[in-house]
Amino acid sequence: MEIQKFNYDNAIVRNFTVATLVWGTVALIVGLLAALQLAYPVFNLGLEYTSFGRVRPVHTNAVIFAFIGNAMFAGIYYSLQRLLKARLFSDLISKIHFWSWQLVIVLAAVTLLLGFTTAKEYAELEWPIDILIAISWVLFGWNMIGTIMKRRVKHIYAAAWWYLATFLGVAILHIVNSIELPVSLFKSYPVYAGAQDALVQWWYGHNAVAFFLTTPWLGLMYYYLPKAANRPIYSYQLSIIHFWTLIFLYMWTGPHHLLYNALPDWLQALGVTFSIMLIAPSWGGMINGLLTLRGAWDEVSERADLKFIVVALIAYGMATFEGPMMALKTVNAISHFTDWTIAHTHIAGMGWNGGLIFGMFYWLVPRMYKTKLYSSKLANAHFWVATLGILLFAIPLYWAAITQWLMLKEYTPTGSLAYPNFLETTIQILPLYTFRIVGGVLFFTGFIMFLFNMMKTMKAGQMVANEPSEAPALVNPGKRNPDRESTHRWLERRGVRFTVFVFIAVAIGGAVEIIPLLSVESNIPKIEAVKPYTPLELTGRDIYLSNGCYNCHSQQIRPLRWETDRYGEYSKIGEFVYDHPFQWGSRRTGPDLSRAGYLGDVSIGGSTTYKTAVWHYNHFMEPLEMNPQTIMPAYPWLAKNDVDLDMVPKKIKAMQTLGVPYREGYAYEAIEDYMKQANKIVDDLKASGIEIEPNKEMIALIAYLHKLGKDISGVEDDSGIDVLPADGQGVNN
Amino acid sequence: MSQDNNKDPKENHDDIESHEYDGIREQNNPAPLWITLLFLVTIGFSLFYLIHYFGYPGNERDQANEYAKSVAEWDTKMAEINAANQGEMPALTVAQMVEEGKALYEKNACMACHGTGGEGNSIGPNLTDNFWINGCSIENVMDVISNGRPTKGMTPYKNMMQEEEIKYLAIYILNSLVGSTPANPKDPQGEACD
Repeated sequence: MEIQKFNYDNAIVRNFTVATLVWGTVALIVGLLAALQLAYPVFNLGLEYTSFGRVRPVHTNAVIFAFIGNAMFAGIYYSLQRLLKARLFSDLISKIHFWSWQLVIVLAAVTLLLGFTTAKEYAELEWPIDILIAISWVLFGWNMIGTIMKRRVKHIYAAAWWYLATFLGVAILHIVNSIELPVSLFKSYPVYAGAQDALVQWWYGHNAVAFFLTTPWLGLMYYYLPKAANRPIYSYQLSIIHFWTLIFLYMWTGPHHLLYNALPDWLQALGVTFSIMLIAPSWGGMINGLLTLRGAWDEVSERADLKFIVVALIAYGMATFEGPMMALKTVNAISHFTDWTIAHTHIAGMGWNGGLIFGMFYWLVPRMYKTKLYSSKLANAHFWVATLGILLFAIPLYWAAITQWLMLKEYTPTGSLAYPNFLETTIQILPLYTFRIVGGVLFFTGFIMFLFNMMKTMKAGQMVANEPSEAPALVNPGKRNPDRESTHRWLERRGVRFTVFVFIAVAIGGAVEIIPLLSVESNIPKIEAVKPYTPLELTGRDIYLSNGCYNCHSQQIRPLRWETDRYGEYSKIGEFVYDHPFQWGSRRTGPDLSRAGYLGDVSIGGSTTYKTAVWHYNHFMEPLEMNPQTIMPAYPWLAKNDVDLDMVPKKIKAMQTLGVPYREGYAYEAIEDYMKQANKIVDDLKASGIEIEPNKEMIALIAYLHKLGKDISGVEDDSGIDVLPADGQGVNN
Repeated sequence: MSQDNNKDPKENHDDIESHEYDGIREQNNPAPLWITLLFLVTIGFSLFYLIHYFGYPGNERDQANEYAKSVAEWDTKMAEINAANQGEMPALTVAQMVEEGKALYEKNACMACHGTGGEGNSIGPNLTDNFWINGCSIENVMDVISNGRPTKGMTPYKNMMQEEEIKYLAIYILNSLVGSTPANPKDPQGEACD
């Protein structure tokens, strides 16, 4: 048999490793800033670019795609070459993949702070960056599949199954969720509206967790755990079963992010049941990892890399049990919109992803640099500091969630809400937000120790950019022999067929849920009174998106008595048919706003959240003057910034393309109507002694807030603005 | 390699000993029984759940019905409580009512629009002078608190406070705020009242 010589590409692994260290530092610092802002609003720094609504998406995107993403590519590129006994398919593709991914990250950070956002969580980046992500991702997949094709190993090992599922899963999710209509270079509208957009977004959102934060990391665990512990994988059959069940079931679970929301009951039920069925497949990975360590526990107690991997597996086991529990409607009534979700994601992000990253690099970097870890003492100290940090971060947030929930649903003996003012519940949990910072600082301190250790190790060693290796050429394997080979074993040596089956398993869940909601009309009962946004309201809506208001304010009242008593009539699916994108929110740091324009029947509570234009003006300028302990940042620049009126007709046209029934040619009347409506608000403010021009952002935003819930309130519309066709029957389809 | 489960019958067939990837070997221990059972139980739960919610017509377990039921139950319960409490409110002295009213003023964030001392601001009118937009009798003040003047910026509070509480708040305004002299009072609005 011919022995072939080749080199592993370590340089690309090194590049992704360094990028991980750099972006990890940035992501954690931004996270600390966001945590400070929640406890002390002064840390919003009084700037448009650094207010919480802009900073929080930078933190989440940086952690997921920059820190965890780069670490994932480093880990995959190192292990894939060795598992397949082949150099990566193309050095050029590797390089372009690396640099395009870093470009995405830089562009993301800049555009998000500038307020260019699609306002869909974890998919906030605007369309040009979405395209760049798609290119970079396809290059990654091309490189991986190319390497599989030219491998020198007959069978593809379990780790690489997970890598393949990662590539396919994220590609499908990213492309489907990012279908949007550009209006300008940095503004687009998603093609989906309201509940459809919500479903697609959370199908994406939850499975970004699955296919970016779970499947690649299970794959990496299947390589780095047995390598680091030098133990055989406990169960081959368990790895097969939990792989296929997990990738199939995960894609159905998205609707559990929308329980009790305005989503058809059948979709919610699928979200619940598939989440529950995911417990065992998720735990399969944890069990296979922990049992692989049988007989190696002495070493675990001494080595930081193994300890981090063990904690990662335990955090994974906790989070994948907690997640399905949160997908039960009774639990979700508490966890949704509270800090429970934040605690949950940080257990998973810091514990599972963080733990695997630290464990992997403590093992990998010394090997790549042909040296020993600079200080294993420091690594062990990092382990304890980080673990303590995670606990001190999560516990206050669980506490905050339960506290706030209990307060929100508390009634007085005489039957009214005990805490009618939402702010009271926020003030109550502020001390816990301060505690949470302590946990974050500890975790960050540990990260600095890790960073120092890595840099010292890299300096001490010498990286071999091209590591020589050799392996026999792959002999064409031929047909399956049923006596010697199981079906799955056969599949493991048929790369393309394997990939096709993975694609099918991954695609089914989303298709079964999304296609009926997009195509079957009875899923979204119409409400005749609901009208499209006027040009001013639409502009205001885009300002709402751009400032990231959705990061703290929901627009979704659940059919729970303590919500309807507080905010008014619960949200109906037909109210959102013109919302590109939906703005239901996932965390209420401030009160719900879906009835902020409701002036109807007081007995169903609607107008309790209505505030006049003057109130909004003062509140945006100086929220602390109105509510002495509020953590709402001030937005004084809203009164200074001009709206780009040239964009208004373009936006109306784009909305028409998306099916919003503005009458023909309405784009050309849009500015006239814009000024008409704006001047009314200007006059209203003038009556209270406030001078402001009609083209300021403030005016549009107030108009938008007054639109929320207005249509269903039953109150006569006195704006004198009609955007529908003359017959008035253009209502959406 | 002294694992107890190495004698799995599948081993001959699959030759697990041959599995080797970059030095990583595999065993073929069966999955622990409990995890298999757990998986079956969760599948069973899911089937039960779907049948429970959608399995037969007219079970009315969708969220709209669930909500309507919870509201009806609550209304019945409250009606009973209110009937039982009829005439049981403790008689408070005026000073006690003012005290209660002051707490309610803070709890409901009235200062956001009327100022901490009732001096008023660009949103709400001054509550310390004797000029009134909607009348100065206790009934007038209670009506404004209860039903609000939403278009003018006054939130209706009847869902957030009991009638007794609204009365305490009105008494606090009329007996304690009116006639006080906070800093930066807003100019009078409405008509003078005797």
